[in-house]
Amino acid sequence: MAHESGNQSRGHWDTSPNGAEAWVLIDALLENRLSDNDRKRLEQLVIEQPAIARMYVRVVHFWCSLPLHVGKVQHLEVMMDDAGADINSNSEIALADTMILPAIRNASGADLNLDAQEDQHRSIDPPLKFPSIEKATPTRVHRLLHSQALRRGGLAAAILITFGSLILALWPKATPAVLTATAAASFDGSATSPGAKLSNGQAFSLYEGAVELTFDSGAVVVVTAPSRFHIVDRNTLALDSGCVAAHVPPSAMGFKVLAPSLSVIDRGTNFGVRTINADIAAEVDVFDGKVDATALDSVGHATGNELRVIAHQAVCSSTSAGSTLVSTPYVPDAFPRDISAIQMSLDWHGTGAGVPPGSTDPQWTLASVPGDPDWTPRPATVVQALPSRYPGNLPNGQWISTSGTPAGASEGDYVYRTSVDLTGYNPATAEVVAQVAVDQGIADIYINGVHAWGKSMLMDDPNGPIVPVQVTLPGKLWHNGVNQVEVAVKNLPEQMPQGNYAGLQLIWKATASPIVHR
Amino acid sequence: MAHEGRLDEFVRLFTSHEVRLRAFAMSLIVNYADAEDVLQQANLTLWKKFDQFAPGSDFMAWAGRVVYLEVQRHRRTQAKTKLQFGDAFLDAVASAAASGELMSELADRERLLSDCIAKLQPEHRAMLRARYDEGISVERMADLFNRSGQAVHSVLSRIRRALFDCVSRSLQRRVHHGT
Repeated sequence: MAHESGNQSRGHWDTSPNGAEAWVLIDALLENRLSDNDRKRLEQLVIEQPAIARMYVRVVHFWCSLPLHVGKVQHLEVMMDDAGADINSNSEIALADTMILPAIRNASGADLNLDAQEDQHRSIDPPLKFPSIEKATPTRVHRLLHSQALRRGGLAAAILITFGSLILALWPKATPAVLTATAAASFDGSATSPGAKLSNGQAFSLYEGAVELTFDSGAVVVVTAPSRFHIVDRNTLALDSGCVAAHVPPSAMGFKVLAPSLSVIDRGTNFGVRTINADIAAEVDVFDGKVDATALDSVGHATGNELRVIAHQAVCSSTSAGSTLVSTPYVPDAFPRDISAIQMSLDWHGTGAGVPPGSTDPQWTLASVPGDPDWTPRPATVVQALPSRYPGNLPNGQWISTSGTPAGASEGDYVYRTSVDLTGYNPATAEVVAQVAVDQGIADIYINGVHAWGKSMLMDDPNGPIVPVQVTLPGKLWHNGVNQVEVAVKNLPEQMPQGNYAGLQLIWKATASPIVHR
Repeated sequence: MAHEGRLDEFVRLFTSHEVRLRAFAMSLIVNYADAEDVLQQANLTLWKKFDQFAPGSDFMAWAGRVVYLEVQRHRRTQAKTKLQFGDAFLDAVASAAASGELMSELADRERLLSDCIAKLQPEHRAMLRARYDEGISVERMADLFNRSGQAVHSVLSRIRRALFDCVSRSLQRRVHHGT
């Protein structure tokens, strides 16, 4: 029988053949890579050798501890990076030097030299029913529930989470949260469709749009992009970065949001949480009711008592101040709460945006010019040399005209045309303002062929500096999908020595509410 | 107030022993999801029976017995559908885990693990984080780290063993230094 020597009585690695073999077998078991024959061999070793049984307990415990501590070190690294500390110290463990495993034999006689196995799969019997880590999701559940919830939130949080666990035990098959609505959402993660059931530990990066999550507890959370978050359990969400707004009915009182250096527990309320300071701190704004907020240190320990925050108040954590809570201005508008009312910026293409001067802009067409009924619509050109009275080009809008070096434009209306896309948005909610500069006036603006502007406009001084104007375009003319916009530029007879350009510079400021899918 | 104090005490004890209780359930049932179910049920039972727990006595020993009974109950419901270790195996593991010295050692190991993780080379720490913190599959890691899936398995296995060894060595040093 194997036994532990004095040196091994506290678990020092057993270098005996059986000990090394047992390690490989246990490790394979925990990683769901153990054959049935190997399982029997491990069973035999554990039964026959108490030292191996103790080692088995140690290794399983080690494996169960990993997710919690990997998360801990990650938090520490963030703090050390911020402080400029060198995390690549000389104390690193170098696997290449220390981890040359001996070739050993398993029960079936096959070599188990791990170094030699890197690119060849072991031929094994069907494995035990043992979930891979992503299926069992121990990492998220473990790390977030215990590292962040329990350790960060302190005793009160622990009570809540523990009772959550107790309650959850009664419904072990319950889905912790459901994706109940999406709005122009683009995110990774396995669930992207409304109705998708989310799992404990499931993580998401929301790149665009917004989503609504309904937790099993009844709490409803609207998450807006860009955000990274995890489902912890039926009444807890972890926000790594971004912005969320929570509506918590009485049934879900105790709903919790875990954010960097901040824990927020609902006490019957509606509130919002967003990360700040490059996502190392967070802020909570209470819309109604009250919450209890707790500041956390870099490894998730509460750094003080819970602070009661009531309606129309806001506090934020401050890692620079040692993770204390400080008052901050209440800004409820920073937290979109109704997914159907979220106004999202539309990235519409301004004139000549991103196009080199002298090149044509395929997204802006010169549709018609005066005095040429046979004119064929063609792409407008970004002006190369601007007259001094023109405001300068901008990254999102440059001057376009008939050519790169226009001169001698005729008197009359030059019509520039573009298309803008409202696919996926509610057109009735479109709020569109065009910042327009023209040489020398706006004759009219059309949306989908319909007159959209109530007046024509000429620059006050046709020979003076051109000043951009803000033109608000009515929402009722927009429709689903692609819309056509035409700007008729009124050009006067040539009056300036540097030529007559009939140019247009237009920059969009457009928002609309995305269509909500439920 | 007495009830709240009792609850506080339960939460404190349970959370401080939870990793070891989970590991104990896991070592007996060898299926993480099943072990979580068992632990949840045991959690409920422990709270219901917490009045029977003598303050100041060995919580791990008391809670471990409850977990063991829950595992046995769980095994009966799963006996026909899942391949399991035999009763002799369970007895051997339970006997090992019943050692107060071993449980104390595991608590020490928990405290030492973070330091050892911090000593890993950055790439190895990144792999560990990807697998155990982010829950990324080995197949996806193979793409991310430009290695074969088997190579990722192998490296992760060596990282785990390096960490286990590091913890063991640290533990020994503490014993020798009497800390």
